Amino acid sequence: MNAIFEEILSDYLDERLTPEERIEIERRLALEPELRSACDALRAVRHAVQELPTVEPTTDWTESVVHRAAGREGLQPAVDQVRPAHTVLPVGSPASRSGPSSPWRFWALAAVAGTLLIGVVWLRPKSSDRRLAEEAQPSRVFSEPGRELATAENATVAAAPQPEATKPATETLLDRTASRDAATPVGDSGAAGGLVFGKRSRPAMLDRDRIGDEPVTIRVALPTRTVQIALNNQQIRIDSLGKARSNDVRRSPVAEDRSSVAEDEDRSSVAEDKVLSSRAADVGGETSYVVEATLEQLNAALLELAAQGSVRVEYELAKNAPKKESPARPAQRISSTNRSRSATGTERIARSSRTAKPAPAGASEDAAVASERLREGGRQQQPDASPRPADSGPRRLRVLLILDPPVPEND
Amino acid sequence: MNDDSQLIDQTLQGDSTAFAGLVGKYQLRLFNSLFHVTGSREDAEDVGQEALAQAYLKLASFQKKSTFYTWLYRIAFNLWVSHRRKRRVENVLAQSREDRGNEAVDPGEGPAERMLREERAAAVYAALDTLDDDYRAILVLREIDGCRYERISEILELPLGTVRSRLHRARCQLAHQLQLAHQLQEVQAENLTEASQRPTETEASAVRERARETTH
Repeated sequence: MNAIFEEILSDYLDERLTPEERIEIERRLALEPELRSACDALRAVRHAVQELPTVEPTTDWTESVVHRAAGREGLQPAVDQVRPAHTVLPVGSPASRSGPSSPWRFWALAAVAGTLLIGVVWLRPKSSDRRLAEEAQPSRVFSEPGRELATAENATVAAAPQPEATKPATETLLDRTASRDAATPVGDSGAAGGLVFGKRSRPAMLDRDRIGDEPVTIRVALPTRTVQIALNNQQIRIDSLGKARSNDVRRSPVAEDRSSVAEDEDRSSVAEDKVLSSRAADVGGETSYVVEATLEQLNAALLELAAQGSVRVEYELAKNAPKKESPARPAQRISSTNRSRSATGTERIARSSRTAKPAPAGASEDAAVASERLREGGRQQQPDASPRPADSGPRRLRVLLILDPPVPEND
Repeated sequence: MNDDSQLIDQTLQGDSTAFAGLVGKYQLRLFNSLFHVTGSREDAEDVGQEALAQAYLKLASFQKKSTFYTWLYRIAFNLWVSHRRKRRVENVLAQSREDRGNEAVDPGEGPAERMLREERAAAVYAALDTLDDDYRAILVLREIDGCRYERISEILELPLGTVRSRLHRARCQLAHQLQLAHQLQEVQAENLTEASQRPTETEASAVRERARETTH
């Protein structure tokens, strides 16, 4: 009995055969003891596994899931700060395993954690973010209001209208994982009591209206495997995550399929490839890949990657790109320093790494002030005055993905 | 619109309690599957909770082409692959069947029946542990979770043909392992019988002592 035929036995047990095939197998089973024995063995195995006892988790997961979601967004320190008042305990602590939590508790935790995060993030960028921002020099550094460190000096700057800058040729978007969306005002949440996580699941990281024709470049400082998983989760296909160096930039299978499309599109694709190849050559020893994805897929992948490490997105600013507007905020806008403005026209927003560090002394006071402002705003329930970012359409972007520097795999 | 879709929409509209509904709906099933795949309660809880947290954060990207459950499982199994590799490096993958302790108990079951069931389950767990991870995952999804081939293919991102052949091989390997375990049990039982028929050490010492006395 060959292996291929044996597989039909599994099909038979799983009722995947046509009626005719099933009749044929049953006829042979009746005639061939060896086949019958093999079939019985497979049936016994199925039965043995199916009979394994059902196992249940020791606790309800709701609270832990909230903590983890908060942690991925850099919320954990803020959550911990509210422990005394709200009896929110760290994941894994015995008391946190005491039993199922109610949906209200879920909501309350999310709201409180989100609210406090806003304060922390607005006021305390990570040093790594500042480093990344400084690396942008001589690039120009903007920061959207409410996203970066506020000092007395730059808060004053924020209060005054910023001079209109010359439209930059390119901009780099280095988004802070949680801050960008966590900075959504309380009134935006659509629910009373504070910011709700669900709202942040619509990140406006890459805006279709702001991206020009040049290919987008994404620099990621994460292990290859992590990047691969993030891309897989968003069904972004790449041919391989082997090392593609400098002038060996790969084309994705999707891109290769485009050979049958109209000629002008082909020419455009070739031009894109030249740009990508040139950029890959510039990065030298770094590992680079070409992927193709929709804006929605890219944004989701970026969100996931950014939750785990540094991500930098560079793209050409579209002609007539709309000026970024931050939503009307109930709290006073706190803008970052204009320390790095230059003439080259690159925008950077720092993205935090996975684990947020506890805020330094003094931060809690600042955070408390910001939280109070936000709570005040939540009570007022101001409607969302900001336009929603345009939904990502079917436009597919070809992106140069650079592991910068490539992080060695653990395994 | 099904329940999941409604809960997802509500969550995206800002109602986080709706996501708590999804957690409550799927945590048991997800945990049970992950437990049998990872062989560890701690790993199953860790991966399962992390998968739900990531699903929450990425909910806006869920396009509803598959069911929420399939999508959630895909995240969970991808995480498990990552998790598993990290743990290997740290050399802490020492599996503990002691972890497999908190199974639901049938109150109407007698002690003898329970012991027999536990022995059978222990043999199956041991056999499962010998399988390749990929084979074990497919087997668990099919036999424990009751997934159809198509869903397994979506979750593990494998072609249907690969699912089919791996599932069959997994079953054959498991059957072989269970057969070996059964044979080993029989051999041990025989050895025990033989050992019980041999003189004990005390008896042997007495015989040796008598022999020395006779010689002197």
